[in-house]
Amino acid sequence: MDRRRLEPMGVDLFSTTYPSGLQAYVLVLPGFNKKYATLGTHYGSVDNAFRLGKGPVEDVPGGIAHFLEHKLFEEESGDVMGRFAELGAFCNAYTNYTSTVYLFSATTRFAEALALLVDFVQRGHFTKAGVDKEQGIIGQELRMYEDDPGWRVSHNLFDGLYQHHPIRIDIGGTLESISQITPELLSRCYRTFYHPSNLMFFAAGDVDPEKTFEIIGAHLVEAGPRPDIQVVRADEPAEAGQKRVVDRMPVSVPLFELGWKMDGGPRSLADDLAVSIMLETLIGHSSKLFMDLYEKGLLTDRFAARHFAGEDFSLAVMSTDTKNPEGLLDGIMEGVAKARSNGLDEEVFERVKRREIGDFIALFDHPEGTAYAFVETYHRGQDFCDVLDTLKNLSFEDVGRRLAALGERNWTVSVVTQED
Amino acid sequence: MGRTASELTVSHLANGTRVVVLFVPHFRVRTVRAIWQLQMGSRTSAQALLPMVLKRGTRLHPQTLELAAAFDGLYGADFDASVAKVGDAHLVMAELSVPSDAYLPEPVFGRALDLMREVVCDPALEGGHFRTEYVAQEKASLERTLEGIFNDKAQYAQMRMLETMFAGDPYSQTRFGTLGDVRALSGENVLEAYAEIRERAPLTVYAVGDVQPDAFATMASEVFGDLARREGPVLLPPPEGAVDRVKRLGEQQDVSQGKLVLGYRTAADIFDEDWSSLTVGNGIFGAFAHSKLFQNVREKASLAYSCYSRLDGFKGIMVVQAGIDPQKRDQAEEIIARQLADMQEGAFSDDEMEKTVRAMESQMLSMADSPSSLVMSHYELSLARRPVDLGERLRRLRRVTRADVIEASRGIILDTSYFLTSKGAN
Repeated sequence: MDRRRLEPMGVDLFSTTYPSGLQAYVLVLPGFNKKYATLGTHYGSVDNAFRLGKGPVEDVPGGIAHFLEHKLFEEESGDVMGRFAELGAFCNAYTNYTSTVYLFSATTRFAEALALLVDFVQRGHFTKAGVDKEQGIIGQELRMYEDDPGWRVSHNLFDGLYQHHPIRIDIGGTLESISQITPELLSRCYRTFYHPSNLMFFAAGDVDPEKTFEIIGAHLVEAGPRPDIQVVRADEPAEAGQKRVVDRMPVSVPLFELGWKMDGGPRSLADDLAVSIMLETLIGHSSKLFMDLYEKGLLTDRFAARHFAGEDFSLAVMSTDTKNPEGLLDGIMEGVAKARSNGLDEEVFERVKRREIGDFIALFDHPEGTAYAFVETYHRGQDFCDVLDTLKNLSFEDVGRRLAALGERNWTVSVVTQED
Repeated sequence: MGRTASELTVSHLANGTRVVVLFVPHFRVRTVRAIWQLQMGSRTSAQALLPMVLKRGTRLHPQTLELAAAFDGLYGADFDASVAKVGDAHLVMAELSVPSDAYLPEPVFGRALDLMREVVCDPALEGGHFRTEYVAQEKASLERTLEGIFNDKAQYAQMRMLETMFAGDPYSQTRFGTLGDVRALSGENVLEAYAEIRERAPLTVYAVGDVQPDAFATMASEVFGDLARREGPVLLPPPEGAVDRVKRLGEQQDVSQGKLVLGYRTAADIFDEDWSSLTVGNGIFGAFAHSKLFQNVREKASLAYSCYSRLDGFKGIMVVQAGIDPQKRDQAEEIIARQLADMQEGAFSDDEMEKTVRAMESQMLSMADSPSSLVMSHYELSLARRPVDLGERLRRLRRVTRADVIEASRGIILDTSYFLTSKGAN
């Protein structure tokens, strides 16, 4: 068991690796009642074409990772949620582009809930009847998203920005793609991507790390040899597929998302943090550009500029509701062009950096928040423990250089607006 | 069993402001929240606009950017001001949160509180009025927030159901009031709302985290001591209203999923001794994934992605919401009615009851981890004169019997059924 101290928070991160390849981490946060545990696989919606070793490329229907997540909750011996509920624990799961994560929170009987989590994630059970039923439930979930203009505007952005990368496909798939899912396909993906070497455990709270690792070890089942998984990707051009995507649906205020596709290749933690801070300095809530656009009524305080990334994709996204999408686009582009010729404001940069440092410290009051942040950095191949030092060491020049990524040909604007 | 007691200290400033300190030494962040108690009613929208205008600038930092920069410089001292609806009370709230000085390279708590004082007590005024452009811009922003509810179908359907169920009652409004009211607002109205805050509205100031009560009381008097003398919080009255006949409403829009929202009146409310029994009943019925609604509407009938119920004890209501196929209103209503009848007939297992009580215990204990939950539960319960101590609430929860749950469930009566469905659906 390894131990790393995180200062100035004064907390310890314990870790261990099991012979099957599973990595496990426990962040001890004394004093909190809620204990939060996650077990996840590095398998998300973008992993829809893969090969094992030198085997043939296997293409699977869109939405299968999410479908698998739903099905793991159903077991021969009654539903998993109910068994967590018997322990007073809340169990849930989420699938995103790059991972599928199973989690629970508990205030008492943590050890029993932990055993349950490790057991059920290792037990895939797929029947024809179960698949049929889930197609109905997921069908409703997909329809719910279709009616959500916020979902549509993001989906259209990714679809316009990327030409081949499977980030274009919705995490849940489509009604058509999920209709192709069979018990056999689920088993195939399950056996491949749920091998312990592809899983990671993280817990946060007032938890005993030694006991936690012991329980996990006792509940790990014998796993076969590590699969040599190679996710297959088509080459993604640097240019955006479409400049503008406009979707019409009944909305009271148009929704706007502007994205830049950035280099998806290997990136360090410093690279990603520098992009985040560049965006905040350029157009965050305490920047001059934001305030100008706000005072002109072009954007609202729901505006956000964020860096969104996985292991092999990276994009900058600005989103808001606006009465004037074209005016906003012009305003942002003008601000970007100005910053590219005159540089960023160094004073704003210093403040943003301080705020990011304060926010990272504050994160440790939220066991759940640490889990999300940890899982995300982990699946990008980056070290969570380095965040604070990396932030402190970022220079104004490092951050300013990232402006070049907001180029002329790698952006797409997506708008959802009223029907004419 | 988790930690159930936080050290709670209550004191009062000379001007009648109540100061509550919840000492939680393991929180790295200190949270200070001021809550003014006002009324829902014709002034709701003006009261909602006020915090938005206050956030725009102070006398010393008149430009919004200057103010935002001042907070940012204090290691992300986070400041926000907003409104909330608790029964017929309308709360105006200002909140500061900042990492404790022990974790930062330099102390900032005192400076952050001083900025909070500026926002609340020393705003940017011109000739005794709020700046015209700030009022106009924030008014436009609030209009967009209200218009935006239309984009979130679940929220929209909830709003429409409450408008129908509480027609003519101020509770039918959102916490921002109504779009019509916002459009009619003037700078004068915001100034009137501000006068309430400065001169009359009962004020409670909370501090949560690694905060010493005595030292904080002194700081609080520097921040809020200049406000006029006022009375303490006003206890809220128990709800009134009975079901006359069931109101049924349908609305069509271009949606692919229907939203069913059912409003019920409950005999028990937060002011009653049997409130805990009703909360357990609601838990078995629909608050959790193991509850009857989720299990029967989603898992067995595969009819919905989600189906939940929630209580508002201040108004004595229960609300059920489900996202379903646009053609299946009748089927969903029937299954939901069957689940409620089962509750009333005692057709629920010990296992269902056990799971619910455990889940509720877990929720209560988790609240002790969240500054916002600690503050709001203390504040709301004190307005209803309920026990605020977590240990006592857990004890009451465990005392609830099967018979209590059946009794409380029998007091639940359907009042309003609202359905948002697709164009051309039945």
